[in-house]
Amino acid sequence: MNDQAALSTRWHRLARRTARKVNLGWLLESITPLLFSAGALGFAMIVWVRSRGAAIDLMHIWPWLLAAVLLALMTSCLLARRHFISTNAALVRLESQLHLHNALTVAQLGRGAWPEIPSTVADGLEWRWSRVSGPSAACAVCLITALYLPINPDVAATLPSVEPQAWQQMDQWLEKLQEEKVVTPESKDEQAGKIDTLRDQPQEKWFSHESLNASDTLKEQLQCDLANQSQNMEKAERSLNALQNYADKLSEQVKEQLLKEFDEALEGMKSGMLELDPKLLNELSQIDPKNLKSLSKEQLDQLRESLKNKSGTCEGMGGKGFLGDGEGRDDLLAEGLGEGEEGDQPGKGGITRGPGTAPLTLSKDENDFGTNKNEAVSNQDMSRAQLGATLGLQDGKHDVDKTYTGPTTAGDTSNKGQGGQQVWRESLTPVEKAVLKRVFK
Amino acid sequence: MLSNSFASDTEIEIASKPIAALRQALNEVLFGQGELIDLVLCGVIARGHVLLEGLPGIGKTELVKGLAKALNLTTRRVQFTPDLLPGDITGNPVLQEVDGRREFVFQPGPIFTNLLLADEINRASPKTQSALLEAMQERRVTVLGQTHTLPDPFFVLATQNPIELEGTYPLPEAQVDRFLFKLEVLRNSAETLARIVTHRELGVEPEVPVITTREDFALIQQTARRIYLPEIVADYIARIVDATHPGQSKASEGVRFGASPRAALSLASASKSRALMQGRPNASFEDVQALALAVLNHRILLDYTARMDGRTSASVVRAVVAEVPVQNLSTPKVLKEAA
Repeated sequence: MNDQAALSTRWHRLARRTARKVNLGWLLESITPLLFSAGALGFAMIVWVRSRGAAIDLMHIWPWLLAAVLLALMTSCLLARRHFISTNAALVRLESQLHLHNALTVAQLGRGAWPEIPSTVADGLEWRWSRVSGPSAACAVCLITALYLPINPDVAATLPSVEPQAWQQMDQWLEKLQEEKVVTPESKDEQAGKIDTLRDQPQEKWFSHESLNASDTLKEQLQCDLANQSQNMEKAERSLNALQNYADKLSEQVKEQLLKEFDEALEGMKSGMLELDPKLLNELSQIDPKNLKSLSKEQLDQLRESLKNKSGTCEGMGGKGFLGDGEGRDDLLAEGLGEGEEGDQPGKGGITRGPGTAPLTLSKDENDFGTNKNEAVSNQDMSRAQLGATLGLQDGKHDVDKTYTGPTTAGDTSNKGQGGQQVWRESLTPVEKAVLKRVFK
Repeated sequence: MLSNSFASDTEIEIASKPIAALRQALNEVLFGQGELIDLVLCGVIARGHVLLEGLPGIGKTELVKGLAKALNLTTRRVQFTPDLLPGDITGNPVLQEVDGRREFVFQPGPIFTNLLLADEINRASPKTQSALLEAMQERRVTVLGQTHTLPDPFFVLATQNPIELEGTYPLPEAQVDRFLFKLEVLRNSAETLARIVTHRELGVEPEVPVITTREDFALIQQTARRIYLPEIVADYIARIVDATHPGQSKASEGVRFGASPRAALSLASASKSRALMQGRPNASFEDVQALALAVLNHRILLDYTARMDGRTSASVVRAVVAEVPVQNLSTPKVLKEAA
């Protein structure tokens, strides 16, 4: 009896050892994802702190690390608990491994004797050391890498940020306008201040809908101002040119018109949102267009050249593009209409042609504008064809064999297979085909 | 209702002696077939019917006859043929004159015996084969509305020939399921053949001593039924039988129909019987593993693809036994099974 009690104690000790081994395995398996997560999180946090220029004291890390490990152990213990095996289950494991015909279970239930303990008792389980040590090593590598990874905090803190393209474009325009002395520094600073207002908002809002909308509005406004100033300078230059070079050939009415245009352009330049170079405005203000002969030819040429250049600078910044291609010239053409001398004959072309009308006749051909004529339109360019577009239509008929074959008897077939033709089709599934192929190989 | 009292060591010891003697006697009848003899003995102790399959002349009938003699049981042999009728087995009512009146009197057929040897059972028509259904399961026959109980014990030991399948009728599934074991009788080795040639004469039946009486054998059967089946072993049997069904395990791929609950009961009974034969008070995982093939092999139906693929029921059963762990516990991935 004493022997049986001793055997029972020893078997139970062995079973507890097996149970501890299995349960530790479950604990380690549960902690694996936590270790990976902790490693990744620790890596990210340490790198972030270091990138901000803060120093990390290892002495301060240890308590946190210890607390994290304890927390991970407790969590994994809770998670792994449902997989833990009891001593009885470990006894079953041992008896199945040792081929004891369930003698341990039977003895545990009191229905049989405890068997003798063999010389070597193996529970049949071995550790996978790569899986045991892998997660811990990975976590440690993450933390050590994060601690000793070379990071320049200045570089990290001053990473170039991407800002809306419109701001950069407007900055460039203003720099060039100041460089070319088209606008005053005050005016340039005023415009730059508006851009800076947008830039001062938090970075994450730079590309918000409101910010982009405001940027576009500001850009359009600047383009519009530039276009107006460009147009005014061009108009002033043209008026000066006409008055300087063709004054003798122009009628008084035309001269008055040109003088009026010059004054309007000058007023426009002064009242524009963008304040132009005061030197240029002064020079233009001092000119008396009625008495241009008081100025030397070189002075006038220089002034015109200056106007041309500045107008070109404004044009180069998309001033014309904003208003549309050639819109300004259309206005000029429109202004020229009606300035020809009135007469009975139709206009002969040119910007000063008269407003005459084509004579009405009784001939049919004169009033035939060709509106009743239909012409086919074809397009051979398929580069812009879309999926589903009809590329062409063609009339055609099915190829039907209309040869009379005469009456056929019931059950006969008109399509008789010839040598080499497939006369029936298999309905086997691919799996069945593969099996048949293997069987008859 | 299962008995709560389990077999004692003394009872097991008492039963072990005649079993060992039976084993020895049958080994003298059939040389080199020790495993087959053990399985047949295990089957009859578990009150099961056994289907023997093998080529002609390798001792199937001899084994059955030897078993009948050793157990001192009445034996009848029926050679199954295509024109055999159910009444030829169960018996027929015969018109007789009794006390001046003519009435039908039941004339018992060859099934009224302790051990029925159904030779070449697959040569009889399904109708005749099915006449055995009620007898094998409930140990009684019903003829013209009258039920007749068969003698106790009652076993069917059937043989069938795997060749010359022309003119045969494969046993219906319900019939096959009633056999506890389907055993394949393999050919003998050269050494065994030499021993047979030395010790046997053609046409002379070997002498088999009577080992037990009918009562003693009934006692052995009773003891086998009271062998302890631990819950973990019962659970293991249930999981193995469940794993034979399609979709329940990887090994059951290609299985059309798995084993029935009767298969689980058969496996449990056979395991207890094997434990008794080995003198143990309980059935074990090892018993289940050793008998799974004999019990489940004929109860699993494969689909067309699996059969064309060369898979057999036996390979499925072996795969199931290899796949299903003895404990329904998973092992953590940080641990592995030792080689």
